[in-house]
Amino acid sequence: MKRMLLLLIVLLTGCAAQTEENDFNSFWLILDGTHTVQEFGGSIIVLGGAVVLPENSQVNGHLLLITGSANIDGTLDGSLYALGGVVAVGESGIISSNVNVGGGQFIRHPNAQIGGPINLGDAPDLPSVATMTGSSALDAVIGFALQTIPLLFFAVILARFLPHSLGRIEAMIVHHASVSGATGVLVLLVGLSLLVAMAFTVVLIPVAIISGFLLLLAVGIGWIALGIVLGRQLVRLLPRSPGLTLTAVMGIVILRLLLAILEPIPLIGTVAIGLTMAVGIGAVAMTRFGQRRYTPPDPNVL
Amino acid sequence: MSQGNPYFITCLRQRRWITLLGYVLFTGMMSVGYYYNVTFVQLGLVDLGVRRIGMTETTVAAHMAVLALLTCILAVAVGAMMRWRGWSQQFAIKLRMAWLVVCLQTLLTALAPTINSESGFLTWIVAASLALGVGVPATFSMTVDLIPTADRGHVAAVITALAYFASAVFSTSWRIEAFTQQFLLIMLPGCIGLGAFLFGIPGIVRQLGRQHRDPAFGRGRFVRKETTHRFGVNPRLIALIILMFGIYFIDSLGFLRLLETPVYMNTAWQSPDTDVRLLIAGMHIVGALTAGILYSAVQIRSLFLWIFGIFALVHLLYGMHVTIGYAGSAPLAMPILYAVAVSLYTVVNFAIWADISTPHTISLNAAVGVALSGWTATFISTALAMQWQSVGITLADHIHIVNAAALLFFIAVLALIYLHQENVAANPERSSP
Repeated sequence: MKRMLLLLIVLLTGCAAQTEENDFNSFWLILDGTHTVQEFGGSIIVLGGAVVLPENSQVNGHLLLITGSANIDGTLDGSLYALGGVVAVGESGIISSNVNVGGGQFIRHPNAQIGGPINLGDAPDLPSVATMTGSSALDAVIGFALQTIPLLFFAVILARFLPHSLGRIEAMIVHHASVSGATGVLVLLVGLSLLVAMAFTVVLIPVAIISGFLLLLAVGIGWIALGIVLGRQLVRLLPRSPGLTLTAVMGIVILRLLLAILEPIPLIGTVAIGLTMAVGIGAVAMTRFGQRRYTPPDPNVL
Repeated sequence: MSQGNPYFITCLRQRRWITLLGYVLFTGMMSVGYYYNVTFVQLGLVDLGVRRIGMTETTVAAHMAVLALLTCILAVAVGAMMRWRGWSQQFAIKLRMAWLVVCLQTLLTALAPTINSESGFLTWIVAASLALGVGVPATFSMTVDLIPTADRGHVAAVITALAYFASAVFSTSWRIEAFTQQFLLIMLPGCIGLGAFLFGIPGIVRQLGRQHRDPAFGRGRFVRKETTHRFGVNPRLIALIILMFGIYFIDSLGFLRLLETPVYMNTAWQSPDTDVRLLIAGMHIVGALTAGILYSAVQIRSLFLWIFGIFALVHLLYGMHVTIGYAGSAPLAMPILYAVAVSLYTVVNFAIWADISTPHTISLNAAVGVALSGWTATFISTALAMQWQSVGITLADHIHIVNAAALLFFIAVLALIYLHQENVAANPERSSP
């Protein structure tokens, strides 16, 4: 989600740079913590945390708030764009240009000075999966189904058309789980960082989107393979062994259920999800999406 | 496990307690030694020189470069002497040397806060170089006596994880007094314990000293045949020294500048927030365990690619952060990646020198490897950082140059892999690397 927001920022930045020349050439990105700005010659983008412009402070640029908060008691020589979070303009606060609020909360002291028009959008906040019906149990079931059904659909296609590739990934998980996990940790860490780095270059955003899709695909295939491994253990209890598709479906449902149960538990939930993700993605990476079998290296070769 | 059960599991099942004691001894010595090196030597001495004695940062850096150069020369000399005299294969002698080094370092640690002049600082540096110069070949060459080849990656991972976890979590104050207090608490008992072990139970020492005759211990993973000539040049050693030099150089040159940039230190390694330091310590452990598993599961060239690639990426991120306004806070993704890269190469460094050696060659190989890669890289990077500072190179430019160096090594390793594969394809009968 945060990465999607980062992409959004970069896109917005690109748009702003096109419409108002040089306004976003220099900007300060705030991701967390509280930052008091006394003087700054550029725009400020807040993606988390808080930014405070105290009395007599001066920012020559725009303020773009995605989430977090902004308290303006000084001068913002530019426009305010708020897509979320809380903006409070105090008594001594001055905004020289427009105020565009598309989401979040906007609080303004009556004496605050705003040079341009105030555009208060009434766009509703996007509902999160967890708060769709008002009933927490029903929301949890819908959330679980929304995440699991696409995975099952994908698993059925893979089991039908690429069973050998899935078999290689499954074998990698069964026989080399620790190697898969270790590789997965590196792929995830480097992959996510690389996506952010590419997104920041703006010109590489299409590459970042494709890479992000590949990473997501690898996570999905990894989970499907893990589901098959689990499913194989379960079908041993049955009198007759079902086919690969049914084994995969059973395994994935059980795996997703287990993870859904563990998820709310602090630390354990994160570790369980991270570990399964790492093992799955590592197996996918080591077998090149199931295209080759992993063989341990010749111990003599450097 | 992909490579069969670790050797220590077999030892546990067979109740080979003395062999297991060797594991504990080696892991303890190396992790404390490395913890001492990355905190007391690299951070404590800077504080001693700048804050206590009042030297400029440039003068302290020059003295640190002297420490690196002296250690390098001494380590190679001692390593060569050990090989020449046959001490390389005598565990008891190596242990005695290590014990003397620990005693000298304990004394030096106790004396450090009392130093109040530049000449005293320089004398301390020379004495510390002597301890480190002897300590490197003596301790690294014990690998062939205490750690079987199959477990070297795992043991290196544990050593790295312990050392970096301790340095990230316990070293809250980078002051010489705090470091001295902390290390004396570890080193004094260590000194007494190691002495008691060495002189009190010679039977166990003798038994551990015979382990290198077992091929499971004495034959390094990348050793194909016994090198009998005295100073034969090993091309694998040279290649590894160049690659490890590159890694140390990139790490040291980049980190020297980050150390001087408060926003990157105060939001990461020196953060007042315990959670942040715990997270970095945790990532060091993750990185170390990852490297420990992959060390025996993939070819080492792949690990080098990962290391150079991550270093290039992390410096790219730092460079971008400097460009978009580093006056604020710094995202934790950067120190996290940095910690992983550092742990990966540290694991390789602890395991690789023994794996290209025999008990006969280990002391010189380890000394030359560690000295020429680690200490020379530190010396050159320190000198270069001082030079860049004197000509006013900006933080952004500094980071970009380090990034370029990391990318260069990354591409060089890729090219070497490609050329090697071409060579193997052209001459299948000569497929040995």
